[in-house]
Amino acid sequence: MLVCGLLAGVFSVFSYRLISLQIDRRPEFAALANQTQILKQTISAKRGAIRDVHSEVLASEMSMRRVIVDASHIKPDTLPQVCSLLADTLSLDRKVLEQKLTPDRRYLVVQRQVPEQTAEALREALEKQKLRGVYFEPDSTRIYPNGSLLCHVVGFVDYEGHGIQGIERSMNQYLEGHSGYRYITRDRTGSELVQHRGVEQAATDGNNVNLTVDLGLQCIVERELDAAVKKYAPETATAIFMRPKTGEIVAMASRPYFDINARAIAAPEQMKNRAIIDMIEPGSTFKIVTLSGVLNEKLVNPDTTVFCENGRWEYAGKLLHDAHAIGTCSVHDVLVHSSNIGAAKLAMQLGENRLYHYIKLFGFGERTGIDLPGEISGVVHPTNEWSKISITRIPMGQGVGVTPIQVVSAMGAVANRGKLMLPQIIHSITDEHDVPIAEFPPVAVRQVINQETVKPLVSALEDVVSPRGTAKGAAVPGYRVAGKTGTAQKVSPQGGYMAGKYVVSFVGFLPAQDPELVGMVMLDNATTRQGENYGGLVAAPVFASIAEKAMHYLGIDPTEAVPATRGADGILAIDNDRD
Amino acid sequence: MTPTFQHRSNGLHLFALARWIVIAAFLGATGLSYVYLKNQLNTCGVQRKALEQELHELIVQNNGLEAQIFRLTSHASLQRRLDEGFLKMVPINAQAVVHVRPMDTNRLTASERDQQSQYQTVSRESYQRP
Repeated sequence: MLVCGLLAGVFSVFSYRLISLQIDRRPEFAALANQTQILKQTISAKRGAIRDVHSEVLASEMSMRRVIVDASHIKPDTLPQVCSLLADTLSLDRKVLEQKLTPDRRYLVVQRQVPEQTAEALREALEKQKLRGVYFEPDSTRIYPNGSLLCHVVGFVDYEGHGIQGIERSMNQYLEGHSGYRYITRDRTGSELVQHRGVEQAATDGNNVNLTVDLGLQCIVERELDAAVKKYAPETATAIFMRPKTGEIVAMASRPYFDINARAIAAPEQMKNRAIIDMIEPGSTFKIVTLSGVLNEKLVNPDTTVFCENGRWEYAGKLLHDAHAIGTCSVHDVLVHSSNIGAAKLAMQLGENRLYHYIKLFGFGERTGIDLPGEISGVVHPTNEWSKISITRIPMGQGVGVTPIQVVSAMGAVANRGKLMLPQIIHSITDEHDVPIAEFPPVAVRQVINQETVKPLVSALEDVVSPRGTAKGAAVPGYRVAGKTGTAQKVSPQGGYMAGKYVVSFVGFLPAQDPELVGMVMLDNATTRQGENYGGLVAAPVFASIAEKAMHYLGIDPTEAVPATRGADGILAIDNDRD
Repeated sequence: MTPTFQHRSNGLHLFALARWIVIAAFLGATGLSYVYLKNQLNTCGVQRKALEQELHELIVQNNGLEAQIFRLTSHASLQRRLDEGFLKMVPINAQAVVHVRPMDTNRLTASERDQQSQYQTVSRESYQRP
């Protein structure tokens, strides 16, 4: 009886404990089990690619692995072994690793962007030595197959894969996909129990961004710019080429530059896209604004004469010079000979308010709206802030701050029959299956000048490139070129101008009768012989060299007779005798 | 008095026995089936995981090869090979160039291209630019 009673008592105690564990405290233990066994696994989305207009890849994603450790799964006696293996395979400090891997560390990212082969070798070694606690998650890295080519436009991403410069930044929301997730259950060894897989949300890959840039043209531009940098050793150099009819940017390059794949060692100065963030005084290229204004307002005609004071003119107590002494010349020749005094007198005829109006109409003093981050608006002071001599200095490009893209855009308006186009660098956006989801048709910003005004203006700009003008070196055999040189003294940070330091430029378009390309070449503080640092002598030949090759590349037939001596230059063919 | 022996025995209830045997067999079979199906599920899970792994490896391999193709066919790489002398560029005389593009074909703008292509243009109104 007693024994029976005892047994019953013991069993009752056990039964109570069993009921308590299984029923009463079930939620508590179930939560504890879930915490150890159930894990929310992220399914990474692939970032979209950046491609040129012919779908050549400029930036793409490559799969990698992320090595993580759940230290609670590592047996204490195997910890040194695990640390040693991780340290040897991933080139890490073993001691630091041992300090970090305390049993309470349930999720420690040991290394990101581990190549697949390395990860696989590590996994095999772990399996062979029967070590637990080390896991692999999908990761990726961004590759830039063209290295430094178009580096300022393409930009790059940070270590988390978010765009921080260039197209990578401005188009980040389209390039970036949406990561998915799944709840997985793991057994005591950490392996997934697939049959207990929970809710799953698939990842959506990012979209591809196709640029208007043509890498073939970009190569031509960068090669010629490099040659110019080698020859003149300027502090900086910039070249932009655009289709005037659509505003599509086909090439954009700045020097100094950097290799996107080795961006960690690049200096900030190398990373600046000077085409959109450098503010310069444009110099004589700005004369097109004044000339456009006076011709558009019909205040003068191309044959109206202007007295250019034989190269020296005092106005408001300040002396204004011309590079060459000119007496009386036509409005047409004011542009051809780039007379500062002539331009100043025409601007006075136009008046401060109307000059300011035309400056704004051409898009100066405001961002062009190109899809690149960090574009600046430049500086154009309102007329109430102008000094007495501003009306004589602004027409020759002093006292205003502009960006190279604004200058190209303004010249593009002249080339495009007076219509200012929005500079575009994005051609289209396609989804992960390459189905287009957005296209960017050309956007006309405004009609700046009448079509009738354009004709005499283009005629004068063509003469600038003739033997009479300041830019003989910009001539391209077989094509009619129109353009304008610029030679601006460098502004000193302490105020005033720096003696002997110039920003030289040439902006032009061709073929002049039906423009296909408008472009600008600009070199800051080029090293030349005394008296040779002029836009017409330094920047214009670089422009010509790029334009000639670009015309061949685009298959645009020459419209003029080609001198026989230049016939051999041009299209090149690849002759590979080893492949 | 002669004692009388009465043979006492329990009758075999075949029906009841059969019923219990069926129930036991059913429960046994159910249990075994449960275990078998659980194992099958586990095996399927392992196979699925293996297939997923294989697929992932193939994707990764494909990605790697794609990246290699991009790198080898990039302008920068071709230029490097040209500089190294691996490729040679032979100038073609301008007179030897034949333009196959018809003379009257005008370059199409992006907006004109839309009318001819199968692309569905998304207007700027419906597409929010950054």
